[in-house]
Amino acid sequence: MNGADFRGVSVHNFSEKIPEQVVHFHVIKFDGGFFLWVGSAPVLSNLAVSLNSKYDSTPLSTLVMGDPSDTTATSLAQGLAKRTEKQVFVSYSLPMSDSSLKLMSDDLLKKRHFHPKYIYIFNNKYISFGVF
Amino acid sequence: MSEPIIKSKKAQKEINGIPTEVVCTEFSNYIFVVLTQFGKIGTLVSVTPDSRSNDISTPTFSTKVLLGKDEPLTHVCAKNLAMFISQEAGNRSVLLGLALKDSSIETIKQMKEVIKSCQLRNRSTNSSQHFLRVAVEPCIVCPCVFLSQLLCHFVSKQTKRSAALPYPLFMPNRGFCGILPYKLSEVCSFAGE
Repeated sequence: MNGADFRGVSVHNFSEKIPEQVVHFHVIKFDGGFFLWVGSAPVLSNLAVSLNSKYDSTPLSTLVMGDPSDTTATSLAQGLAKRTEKQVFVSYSLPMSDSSLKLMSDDLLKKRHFHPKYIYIFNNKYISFGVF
Repeated sequence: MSEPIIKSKKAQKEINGIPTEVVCTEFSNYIFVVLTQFGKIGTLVSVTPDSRSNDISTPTFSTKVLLGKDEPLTHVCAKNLAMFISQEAGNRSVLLGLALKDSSIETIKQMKEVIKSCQLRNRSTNSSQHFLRVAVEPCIVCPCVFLSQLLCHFVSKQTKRSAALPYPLFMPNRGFCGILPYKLSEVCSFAGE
């Protein structure tokens, strides 16, 4: 009873060392979607939203906050929406200067760790999205 | 594993029979608050304190609907809810996710209480001293240290906790005597919660 059966907004925090730098993840899981923040410093610098459309195979996505010339958050949200078939909010605040770090974490997120039903992030740590 | 870099807190409560959930997340530039009765993020509103000169007593806020229904009521609710969050968080901007079934004033009031229970301030480090942020006009440093000592003493006595006021108070427009008794009751009800 203690909240487990209730609607189920849940919060998950974890971090991972990608070569040199620690990258932090913060996920809030909602009914039908989730909010993902990725960053190395606790700043909310942008926010992108993406969700699937029945008229298009590519999920619709838009940046609601931040610099529109930086498409990282938008494309990450889009990728995740496609894979998870959920509404996805993404805020991505890794320093742009370190492009290798950016690429690497993008790669980790997009290719290996996100699965349609479950989001696996970094090896053993995973968040189940199978119970939406 | 080390502490997460992002602090967040969650609370839930039934308000007028509707299960309501609150998630507060603290960023250095934003406080992200999701207030939901649908289990969804809902309407996203950004509430930003306007920077302006110090001589205006009530701070003003700009609201912008980033996602969702941009109707007057959304702005009103957002402003009402986010103002105190921003003030408590040192005038940070607030990103508010609102998914409400009921946005009556009574509900909003109760929601504020739930948000308060979700507040992210780290109280443990200051447990012996209760610091107060006094919501009065921006202060000019009081030439009279005695007054702030008196005020601390009073607050401490009322709240039965030790008190420290970050700033000495001085109300240039209204003087001490007229405003203080009134403001003090507010201070104490805040401090005693």
